[in-house]
Formats: sequence, C-alpha cells, structure tokens
Amino acid sequence: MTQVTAPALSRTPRQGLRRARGWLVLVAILLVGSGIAVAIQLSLATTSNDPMGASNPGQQGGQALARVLSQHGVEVRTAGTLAQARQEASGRSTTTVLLSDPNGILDTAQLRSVRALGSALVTVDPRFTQLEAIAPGVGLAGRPAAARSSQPACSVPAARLAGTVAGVTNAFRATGDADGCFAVGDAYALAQVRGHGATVTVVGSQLLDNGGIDKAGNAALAIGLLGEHSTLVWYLPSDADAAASGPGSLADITPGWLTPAILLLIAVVVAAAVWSGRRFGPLVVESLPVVVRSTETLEGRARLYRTASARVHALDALRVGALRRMAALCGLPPHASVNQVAAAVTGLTGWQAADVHAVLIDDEPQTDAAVLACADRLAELERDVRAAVRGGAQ
Amino acid sequence: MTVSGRFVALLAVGLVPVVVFGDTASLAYLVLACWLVFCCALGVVDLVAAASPRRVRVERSPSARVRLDESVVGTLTVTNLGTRRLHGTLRDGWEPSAGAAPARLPLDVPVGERRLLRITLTPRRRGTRRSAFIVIRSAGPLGLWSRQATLGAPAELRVLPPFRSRKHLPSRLARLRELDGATPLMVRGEGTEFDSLRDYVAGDDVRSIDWRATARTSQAARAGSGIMVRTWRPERDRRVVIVIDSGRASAARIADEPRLDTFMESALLLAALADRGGDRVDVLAFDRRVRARVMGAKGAVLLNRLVTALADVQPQLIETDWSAVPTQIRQVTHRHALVVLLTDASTPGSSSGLLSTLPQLARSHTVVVASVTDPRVAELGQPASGIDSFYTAASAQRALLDASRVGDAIRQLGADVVSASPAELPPALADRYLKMKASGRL
Repeated sequence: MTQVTAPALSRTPRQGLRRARGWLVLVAILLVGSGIAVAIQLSLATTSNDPMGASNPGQQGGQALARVLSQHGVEVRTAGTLAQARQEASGRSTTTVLLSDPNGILDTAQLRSVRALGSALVTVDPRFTQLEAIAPGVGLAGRPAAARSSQPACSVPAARLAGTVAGVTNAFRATGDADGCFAVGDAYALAQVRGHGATVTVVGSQLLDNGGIDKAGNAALAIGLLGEHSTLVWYLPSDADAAASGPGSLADITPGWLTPAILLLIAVVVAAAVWSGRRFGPLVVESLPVVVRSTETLEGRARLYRTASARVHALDALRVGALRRMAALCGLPPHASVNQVAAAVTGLTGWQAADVHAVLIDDEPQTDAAVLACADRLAELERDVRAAVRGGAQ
Repeated sequence: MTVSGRFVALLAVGLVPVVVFGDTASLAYLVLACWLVFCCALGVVDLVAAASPRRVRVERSPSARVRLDESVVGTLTVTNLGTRRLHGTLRDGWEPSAGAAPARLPLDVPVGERRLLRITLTPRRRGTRRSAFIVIRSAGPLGLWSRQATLGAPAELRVLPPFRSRKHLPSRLARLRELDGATPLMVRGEGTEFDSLRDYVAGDDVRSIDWRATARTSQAARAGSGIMVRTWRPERDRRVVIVIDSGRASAARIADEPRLDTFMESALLLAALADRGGDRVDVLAFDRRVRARVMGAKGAVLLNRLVTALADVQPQLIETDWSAVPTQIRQVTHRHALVVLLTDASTPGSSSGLLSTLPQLARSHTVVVASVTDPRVAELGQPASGIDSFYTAASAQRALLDASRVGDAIRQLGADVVSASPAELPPALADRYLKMKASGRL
C-alpha cells in the first residue's frame, strides 16, 4: 500500500469566497449604484404627461394653474381615481372639483357622484355623454368662428372679473337653464349650469392649460373659477375607474395560487439543473494519439487523377500492375518487356495479337465510358490468362 | 456543494400546500415563501451535519502493470479522520481510456474506520494511464444537500503491449527445436556447428555420414548399422538487433492498428523466438532519438523488460533520421548481426532515407526490412463499376507498384524484405528468422 496524503485540490467555500471577493465587491458596487440611480430617477419623475395634469409642465398641462392656485392659498389635491377623489374632498361647501376626462372613462352615475363631491365642478373639454349627465342644456358647438371674446355677458362672477378671454378653440351652446358666457360667434367659450346643490361649469381646456393661461383674462377666469373654495380636488380619471363590463379578464378567472405555483416550479427546475448539472469533480484531460488513415494518400491521388481527368495515366497504372501479374503467371521475369508479355499472353489465351496489344498498350481512351470499357477488357484478359494457366496446370 | 434529487422532489411537494392553502394570491405567496425557507433551512441543516469530505486519508494500491486487453483491479482505501460518519459517493479521476468501472463508488465510512474500494481497470490504450485525483461527495443525514471536495491522489497504470502474436510462439518454437541437433537431415551450411555423432538410421542423408568415425567405431559397438552420421546444430549466440521505427510512418493506422503496434508485436515475437534460439536480442525504438532500448537481457527478463520499455512508446510526428541508425547499431554491437528494421517501405519518397542508409548497414550486417502492407490497397486495386472506383483502383495499383519498386530497391541494396498484413507480419518475420537460421545466414 502506498499511502497518499490527499491534499485538497478543490477550494473550500471560504477560499472560494475569498477568491470571488473582487467579483462580489463589483456586484455590490453595481447594486448600490443602480439603487442610487433609481432613487434619483424616482425623485425626478414628478412630472406627468396627462393633458391638464397638475404636474404636467407641457403645453397641454395644468401645472402653471395648479402652482398659482396653491400659491394663493388654495389646497390643490390631485386624485387619480374616484375613491381617491372622495377621500381628498374635505367637505361639500369648501370643495371645488376640476374634472378632466377627455377619454370618457366615467359613466353617468360616477359623473353624478363627482358632482356631489363639491359645491362647484369645473369640467374641462367634456364629451357629449358627460354633458348629458351633469350639465343638461349645454351642448357642444365645436370650433367657434372667433377665438377671442370680451363680452362676459353672464352672471358668473369669475367671468365678469376676467372680462376678456382669448385662444378659444372649443365652444359650447347654452339652452334652457344654462348660462353662457363669452360669446364667440353663436356659441360660448364657457357655460354654467346650476342644480343638485352645485354649479357645473363647462370650459375648454385651452383657456386653462399652460399654453393658453397667459392670454388676455384667461388666468383671471381660471383662478376665479377654481379658487372659489379653500380646497381644489384636481381629478383626472384613470383606467381604474372604468366600469367592468363584458366577460371577466384572464386575471379574474385564474386562481390566486397560479403565479406562486409557477414560481415554485421554476425553483424546482433550477434545483433540478443544479442537481444534474453539478460536475462530480474536474474534467480529466487525456492526450489522444493522432489518427492517420493509411489510405489517405491513396484516396488523395485518386481524386487528383479524377480532377485532372488523367484517364490514360490512370489506365497505364492498371496496365503496369496487370502486366506484372500476367508476367508472373506466364513464368516470365518481373522485368520482361511488354512485347514479351503480350506475346506470351496471346499464346496462352487465344486472343488476337492486335487485341492484346490494343488492351495492353495502344488504346488511348478519351471518354469515361471508353476508359471503363478498356479497364474491363484488361480485367477480362487477366482473368483469361489466369484461367489458361490454371487449366494448363491441372 | 450540491443538491440531490431528493431535494428537488421535496421542493416539488410544495406545490400541494401552495394549491391547497393559496386561496388568494397573497396567501399563496406566503405559503410559497414559507416552503422555500423551510426547504432551504432543511438543506442547510443537512449540509452542516454532513461529514467533511476533506478529512480523509486515501491509500492506493501500488501502480500496477497490465497487458492491453486484460483487466486489473485497483484498490483504494479511504480512512475517515473526521468526527461524523462519511456517507456519500466517490469518483476516481482515471483517464477515460483507462476503462475504470464503476465510475462512481458508494462510500460509507464510520468515524475512525476505513473501507476498501475496488475499481476494475480495463484499459483501451497502450501507455501509461493516470489518475490525478479522487472526488468525494459527502451527503448529509437527510440526503438533501451534500459537500464535495477534490483530493489529490495520483496513481498510474502502465498498460503494456498486448503481445497477441504469442499464440504463434509454440509452433515456431517447435520448428526451432527441429532445427536443433535432434535431426541429422540438416544440410551442412556455412554457419552450422558440429553437434554430435550417432548411428545411421534409414532416411538420413548419406552426405552426413562420417566415414572416419565409422571406421573408428569398434566392432562390438556395431549392434546396429555401425555407420556413424554427424549431426549439426544451428549456430548459436548470434546477435539480433531489432530497430523499431517510431517516426511518423508508424502513426498510420492499418486495419485499425497503428503500424507501431504491429511492429511491437513482431518485435516481441521475434525477440522471444530468437532468445529461445540462443541468440542475443537487442531492441531499439528510434526516430530522431532513442525512445526505448533493451540490451543484454535474456530469458523471461527480456520479454518483461521489452514490454515495459515499449509500453510508453508512441509514434512521433517527425521523420525518422535513418542516417543516425548505423551509429545506434554500432553502439549495440560491433559484430555481424541480424538487423531487423521495422518500418514503412511503401513509397520511394518516404523510404529515401532508409534506402540511402541500407548499403552501409548491409556491408557489415544481415539486414531484413519488415513492413506492413495494407490489405485494403489490394482490395481497392480491383476496379468495380464506375469511374470513381476506376480512379481509386488505378491509384491503388500505383501504390502497389511503388511498394514493389521500393522492395526491389531494398533487395538490390543487399537487404531482405518481409512485408505482410498486420495480422501476418509477426509470424512472417519469425518464419524468415527461422529460415535464415536454418540456412546459417545469421
């Protein structure tokens, strides 16, 4: 028995950790760095892209208005869902609600409950269904003939204070109880309806957004309309408000355990991969011998003959081989001349001397078929010689 | 560290509580997290409880020798030096061609005890096969997670040439004995030596009658014919030098055997035979330098040393330096010897070095060049139908012609040629030796 002190060749976990320290530090730096980057991104991401958004600094945003209002002591509270809006509304008498729902997400009932949140509701760029639900008597008039109007001509205090509005691109009709202000052509830039304990003011977004607020008396109008009460609920409905309709979505009909079960199966697959993929020690290297096939040169030469179409050359090789064998069969010395062999073969086989000569020396076939025929004749002659010699021996 | 199939199954079982208790998504996530933590905790406990795979002592059986085609059992003793029962699997890192079986050995060693493991090695290649390490995977009591370590425990197995041609040895030895003084039919040749006198029996060559001895023999002794014949025995104590070409020509495979292996078979058979014939055999494997040399050994030692020396010789991909061969032979002997050159003599191009050295060798020695012919060449030389086969046949004929030209050239330079297929070369070379011995040409 030879005793072998078995030194460990693989690393212990501790050694492995020490070895991978550089990588671990690198990964830690990357993680911390990306955390910082995400935090910065989140702190910067206070702007939105929603039309009339209170934090949208773009042309169609309402950030200017929201900032000015909050500077004037109005508490601007933004809400993305109806439930949120309900929470934000402090009390009916002290709340103004700004509603901008250009996509028509809210249905009639929801619109009415929005109207019930405060004593004043300003709806920006409403749709036909919205008007029907909360502002009966106000209709859409499309693009007006004039963009500017200096005739408030109504009982709305804010309008009268503003005096002039400009940049009107969306006008409304007022019939019945509705009160229309700022006539632009035969329509109005602003309309107001009273009822159900609240005033509903309909106005185009271009009078309130960042792009149009600074024109003429737009700003005064906006501040007058929205700064009436101490609290302003800035409500932009989102998809969460959309009433469920039609069949339930995929998420509704899948059971709650499905995603955790899939995660568990993924964990099982990973564990199985470790189970079967973990190598049982290092690979063994074996230096294998070079394999040299002995017929390689032979085949290479055959391919060369073929590429060069060296028919006669190849046939000559066969002829020389056959001549040697036939000379041996006929009992001639190995270096007997071709003519001697031909004569001996003629004598043995009974072939015509000219044929034998042609097969052994003269033929120079130019086509593949001819050279094959010639090779066959040569083989036949050799067979005959063999048969004749064997016959003679018996 | 690694996990077992049992751990995977345990993880998968977690599907049941997740589905049964996971009515809502949050509850299901909670169950999932609990299950994962439970499984991993079990795994960690298992890992901590597993024996250290490093605290073992490994003892190997001494490096063995085995003929190719045969098997040997290697033993491995594992002593547990740790404080926990070592339970797991062991792998011995033999090279693939060492043919170790089984590849994985179950291991169960109580504290302070040792266990003997047996590995059967059936090598598939000649030469030295090595194992540099063993790997121990130690499983915990639950069999969930296990520890693994690679331990350096080098071992060697020397795989000797198979000497398959030894089946030809008995018949050749019988013929060698026939050559010996037992028979008077031996014609008297140049190198034969006088052995003894004995009575004439019918059938003896009359030329072997020793008339003087017959005359001297007393009448009383003439119980039989009274005619004495001389018997002769073949010469003894001649030198046989076998040179194996281990250059690139020997790398080619013929009938799935490199030329070099055929040469070794031939050399072994010839050496065994010549040794029994009373001659002194020296063997040399040479390309540009000596790869193996066995000089001055006799009897059983000779074969033993031969197979040991030749075990590790592999064909080198360099051209053999034939001009250095006469010097090498001179180092072996200054006397006249039978020099057997085992090399490839199939094309004039590759044999030019050999041909230029032969005259020098043939002046002072009897030279035999033994080479392997490829049976496939003769097979391909018969054209079948088709132009491809025609060209191949022409090329094969050209190769045969080349080989016969080289053979003729060797004969003209005063050497002898033996060429046969791989299976037939060893007996053919042995027969040539017997023939030369019989005719006293050594």
